[in-house]
Amino acid sequence: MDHEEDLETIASRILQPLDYALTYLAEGIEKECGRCAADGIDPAADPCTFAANVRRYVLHAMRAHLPLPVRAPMSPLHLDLGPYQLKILHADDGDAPSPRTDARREFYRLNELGVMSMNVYPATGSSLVVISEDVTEVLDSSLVLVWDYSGAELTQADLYRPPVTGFPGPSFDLLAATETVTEDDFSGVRREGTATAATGTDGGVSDGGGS
Amino acid sequence: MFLGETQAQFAAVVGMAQSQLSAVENDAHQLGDEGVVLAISEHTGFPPDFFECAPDRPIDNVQFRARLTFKAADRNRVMSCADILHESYARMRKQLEVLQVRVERSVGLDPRQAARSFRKALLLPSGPIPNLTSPVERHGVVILALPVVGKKHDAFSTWHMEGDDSYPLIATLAGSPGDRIRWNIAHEIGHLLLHNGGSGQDIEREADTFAAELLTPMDAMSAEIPMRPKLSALYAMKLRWGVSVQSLIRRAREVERVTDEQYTSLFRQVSARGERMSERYQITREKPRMYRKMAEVLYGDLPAPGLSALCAWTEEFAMDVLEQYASKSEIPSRRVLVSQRTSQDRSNVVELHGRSRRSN
Repeated sequence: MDHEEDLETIASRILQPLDYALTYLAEGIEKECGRCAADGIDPAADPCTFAANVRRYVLHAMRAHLPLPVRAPMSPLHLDLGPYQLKILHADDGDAPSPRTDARREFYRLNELGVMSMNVYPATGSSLVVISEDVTEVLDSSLVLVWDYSGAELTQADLYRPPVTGFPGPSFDLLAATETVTEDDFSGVRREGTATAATGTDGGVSDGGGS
Repeated sequence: MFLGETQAQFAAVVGMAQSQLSAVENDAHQLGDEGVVLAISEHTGFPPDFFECAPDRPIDNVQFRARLTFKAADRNRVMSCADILHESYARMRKQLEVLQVRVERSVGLDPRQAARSFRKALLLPSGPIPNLTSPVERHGVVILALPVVGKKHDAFSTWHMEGDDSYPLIATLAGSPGDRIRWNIAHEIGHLLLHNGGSGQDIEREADTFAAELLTPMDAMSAEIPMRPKLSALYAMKLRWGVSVQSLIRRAREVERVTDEQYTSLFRQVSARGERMSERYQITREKPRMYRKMAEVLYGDLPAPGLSALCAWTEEFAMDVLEQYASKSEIPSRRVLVSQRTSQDRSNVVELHGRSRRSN
């Protein structure tokens, strides 16, 4: 099975919550770095606390937008996305953390067993996941979003479907595979008489949504 | 003005007879007494120059939602603010080339059909509309975000005539949640396209039907709303579609996914959570951009001083006004997969993430 392709398909289905996660991870890292700088703390001195503070920020920010279950403060962020269960974890030496605990082994086990669910669209009722392709069954997946940072920047956001073995498994690089697009900034608005030949393809007027 | 005071209260504060104030408001009498002008200036916070300029043509023929229940005092407060803002818009517009109006009236058309045509005309995606405000503005609809909070009413619309020129105008009031703002804009577009003035429950219902079809097309709802949906499933849909869970409950009944009893039960659950007026899970508030963009073109990235000078406002009021509109850093954005981006996405990419870790 081509896991790389599958992960891209999954990423496209859960792109909205992933977008929130990446946005708030980037914000959380920046804010935590700012806090460390203000307090005269080296962010690298205690990476666990740094990661925990970022996680707390992401949890707080995402709660405003997504129905997140209440969990213990030190638990990883866990999103229930219908057939997909997503944990957001800080990278362990650049990869998905190995399943050292029973809970994590249990979470990873689903992928190891390759359980085929009866998620016949739209029976899950979780519309955060859009399965609009002509499919009748969806593979249940335990997914991990592995993140890391350098300085005040989010440098890693990989989507994993981790196996229970020590091998981290294939991943999908979200930072490389996604782009942020903005709405048009109405470049057709200009002072009277300042239009030039070069502005004939102005996005504000003639693009009008891509025509 | 939009201080929320009655004419009698205002007249007493500034030392005028109410009849005199009324005459001034109706343009039948000029504010001649310098002392009165100063008193009004002090009370309102607007400089004296503001009261010495003749007002431009006010907005008229507006369509308010549920206008029959709109108290005259509230209406006056909102309309005063709208007129002041529209006046500033019109002054900026005179100095600028602006986007052409590219929406057409379709009076008498079935609201659902009109909504489907409107989606096509704006080249909106077939699924959820990530941002409604921006494409609507791109098509020449003027959206004025007023810095006043509505009590029961939070939007209105009109086709404004300016000589031979006319343009569709929507005004939204502050204080509404994000899903409500989107609904209001969709509802007012329905009025602008379908109705030629007038009021009453029928045209409100038509505008609601238009809004529902625009934001949550019937075909998509039929495919997506499960049978007997739980409230949690509808909240998840709310996040995806950017509409209130209450509108989705109504949609669930329209596509026959709930019985009348289940429909009532879902609304009771919403009420029991105390969420009829303010639901859980926020939809990002869409701010219009055009007005601020016009001010930036004229006065640079910090346009409050220039705008206040143009309109004889205080700088503080100009900042309050500009705050209602998206700044450059607030222009809506969303993440797309590179492999699935559209041609329009491609032209608006602002950031291509690199990875320092793997580039080594």
